[in-house]
Amino acid sequence: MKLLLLFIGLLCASPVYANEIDYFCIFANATAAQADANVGTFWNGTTWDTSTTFPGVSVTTPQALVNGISSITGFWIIVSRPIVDGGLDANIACVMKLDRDLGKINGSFILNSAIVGGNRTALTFKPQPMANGQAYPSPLGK
Amino acid sequence: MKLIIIAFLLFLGFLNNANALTSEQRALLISSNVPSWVLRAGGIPANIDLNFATGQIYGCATLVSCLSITRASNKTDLLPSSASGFAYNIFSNNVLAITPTLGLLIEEARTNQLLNSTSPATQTTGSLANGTYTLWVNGSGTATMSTGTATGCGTGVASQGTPVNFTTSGAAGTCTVTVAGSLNAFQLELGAFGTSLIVTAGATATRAADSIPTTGTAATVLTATSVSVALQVTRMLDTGTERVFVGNGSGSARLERNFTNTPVIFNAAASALIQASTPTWTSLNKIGASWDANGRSLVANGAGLVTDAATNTLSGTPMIGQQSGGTKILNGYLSRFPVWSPKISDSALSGVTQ
Repeated sequence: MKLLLLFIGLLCASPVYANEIDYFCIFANATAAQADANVGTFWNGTTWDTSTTFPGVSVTTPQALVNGISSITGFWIIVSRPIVDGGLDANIACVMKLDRDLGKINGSFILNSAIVGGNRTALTFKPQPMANGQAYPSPLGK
Repeated sequence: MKLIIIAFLLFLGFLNNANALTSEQRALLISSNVPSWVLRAGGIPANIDLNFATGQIYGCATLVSCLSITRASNKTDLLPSSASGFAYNIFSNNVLAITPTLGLLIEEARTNQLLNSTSPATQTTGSLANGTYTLWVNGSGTATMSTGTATGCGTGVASQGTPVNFTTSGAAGTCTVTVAGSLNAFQLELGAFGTSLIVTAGATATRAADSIPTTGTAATVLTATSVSVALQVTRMLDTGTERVFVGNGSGSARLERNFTNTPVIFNAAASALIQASTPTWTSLNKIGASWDANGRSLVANGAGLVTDAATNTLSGTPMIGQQSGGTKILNGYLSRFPVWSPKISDSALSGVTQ
């Protein structure tokens, strides 16, 4: 009976996501991020909610343009969620979604990404969210 | 013994007409069912008593049934004031950072600009945004600032328990940190005071802020019309800034330490009730505040009680250690958080903060 229940459980198990899903979102500037229907919910009119976002991170890719916005002069913000967020998934400004638990062990942490090829494997960003160790490889390598 | 007391009171109530228990008898009846460690004010036990320092909880089935936490990063409890070699704890994402004997550490977000922060070595930072920075260390060695390409790095020397500050200006640039001797950890962060260690490896890292809304019974009691709290705070990391102890879920009502380092009950509609003392905020302080439809009372460490006739209420989802919107974060330890509803007497409020 126990084996049957285990089997059923395995069949029914949904993908196990990390403690944090990190959405990397890029905007032309901070004002555009604040006005965004999804990302802007973490802006209270004065400050970003820094319990769950990492605004103003610096992302470097070999090709400077990401989604038509310079990765050097645009505004990047990481929005961290404990589970997948449908609104952020559908937001074209959120160009990369990473699994932090898998990132820490250099597993298959790329959940989704509009950044591909050499731009992604060579991508570096700082600061990273504090983890016990380092949250992601630098460069990503994947 | 408790059963005997209860039985006696019931018998007494029966003799006196069961609806005629005095308030003292009711208090004793209630109190006899409450663990002895729970704080009592005038004999009335707290509805909720969260003793983070000792790990004891009353009034909530579990701690997480009264408090939730959002913090999208790990966190440690190694502070600039920690002893050399302190065996710090590492707390996972979205876990309350509770240090035994001290309590719940609540901090704002910060970034450590130094790499390999638990294996300190001489290094040049990346480009630093202009501002006032704090460099602090843990260990017997030192870390000395010098200029890279930035203006204002200074030449300060940080040692155990003695951080240094410097302010950069002009074009953003780098600074150099030179290590001498043996260090367990070091941190360079944007801010006028140091916060808990942010562990880094090959990249700079950010510790997210602690966002702690109350839930369940805690939220219900705090948003009642008549409320009393006698919270205990210690090891606050700075002075001269507003730091909120408990704040409104929306709007500006809050109990806080203000810019002049005095306890304040603030309500935008009713204005501020300011207590006169300026405690040493690095030590344990007991702040008592109460309010109902007839007025407010505020006391610190059992002395200097002030009152007024203004009203005050918390609404929405009250936040621990910050104002709504995540501002004015405590940056210190909340050691204990007892809450009563109703408003306890002024003498009792003074008593529980001694």
